Amino acid sequence: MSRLLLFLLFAAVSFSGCAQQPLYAWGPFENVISRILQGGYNVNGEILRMEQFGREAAMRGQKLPPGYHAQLGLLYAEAGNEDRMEVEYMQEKDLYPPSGTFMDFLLSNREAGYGK
Amino acid sequence: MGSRMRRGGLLVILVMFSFSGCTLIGANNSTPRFNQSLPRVLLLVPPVNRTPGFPTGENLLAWSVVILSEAGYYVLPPVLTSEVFARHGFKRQEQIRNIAPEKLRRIFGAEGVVYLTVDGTGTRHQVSGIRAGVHASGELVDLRSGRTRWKGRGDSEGGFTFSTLLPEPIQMMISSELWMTASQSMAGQAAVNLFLHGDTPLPPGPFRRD
Repeated sequence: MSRLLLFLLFAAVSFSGCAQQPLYAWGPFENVISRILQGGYNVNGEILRMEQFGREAAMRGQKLPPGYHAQLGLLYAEAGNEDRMEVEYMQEKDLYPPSGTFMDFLLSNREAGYGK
Repeated sequence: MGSRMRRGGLLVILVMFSFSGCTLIGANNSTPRFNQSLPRVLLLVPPVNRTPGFPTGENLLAWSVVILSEAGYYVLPPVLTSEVFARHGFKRQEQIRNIAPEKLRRIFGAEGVVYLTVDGTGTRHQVSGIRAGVHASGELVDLRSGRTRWKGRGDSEGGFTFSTLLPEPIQMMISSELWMTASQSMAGQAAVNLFLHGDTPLPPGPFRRD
C-alpha cells in the first residue's frame, strides 16, 4: 500500500510540473526532412518509414504534423506514383487549409514535373 | 478500519492533486496570446550555412519546422518549397530575398518568410579538447507589409575532451564524427534558443489547441 502511495506521490509531482502535450506526432519526420535536404536518400526507404509511422499515429489517434502528407506526396512523385502524390497533397489540403494555395499550385503545375 | 479509510482518503487527495496540479499552476502563468497581425503561414527558405562540410543548415531548418509548428504556426513543407525555388533558379537565400512578396504570397499562400543563418565555431585547445558552438540567427519578414516582425539569435555550445593517450589520427576521427552528430543535436538546441529563449522570443502562433 505504501508503494502505491509513493507512486501516486511521484505521479502528482510529475503532473504538477504541467508538461504540455505536443500538438503533433513527429516520429521520423524531422530526420526525414534533414536527410532529404542533404541529398543521397533512398526514396522508397523514406516512403516506407513515413507510411509506417503514419499508421502508428493513426492507431494512437494522433495528428501528423503540417507538411507530413505533402512530403510523402513528393516522395511518391519521385517514385513515379502520381496517383498517390495527388492523394497525399489533397490530404494535406484537407488537414491544413492554409496549405491550399500551395497544394493547388503543385497539382495544377504537374506538367512542370515537380519531384520527377 | 479507520486507518484504511485514512489511507483511502490520502489516495483520493493525491489523485485529485495529480490531476489538478496542472490547472493550479497554469492559472498563475499568463500565456502570451497570438498577435492577430502576425503572419500565420510561414515559408522557411534555405538557411545561409556558414559551416561548410556539415549539415548544420539542413538540421537547423528541420528543427525549425518542429519548433514553429509546435508553437502554433503553419509551416509550409520546406523540401517542396525549396524545390520550387530551385526549379526557377533560386538556390540561395540572397536570391530569394529579392523576389517580389506578392509572388511568394500567390504561389505559396505564405504570409511570412523566415530567413535563417547558421555559423559554426570550433576551437581546438592544447589539452586535446574541442569546444564547438552553433550560432543561429533568424528573421521573420511579413510578406503583406515587407516589414521585419521578429529577429532573434540562438546559440548552442558543446565540447569534446578526449584522452591524450589516443594517437592523434584516432582523436581526429572521433572528433569529426562527434562534430557530425553534434551538428544535428546542437542545431536543435540552437533552434530552441533562437525561437523560444532569446530576449524577444517569437510569440506563439494561432494554430494551438487552446
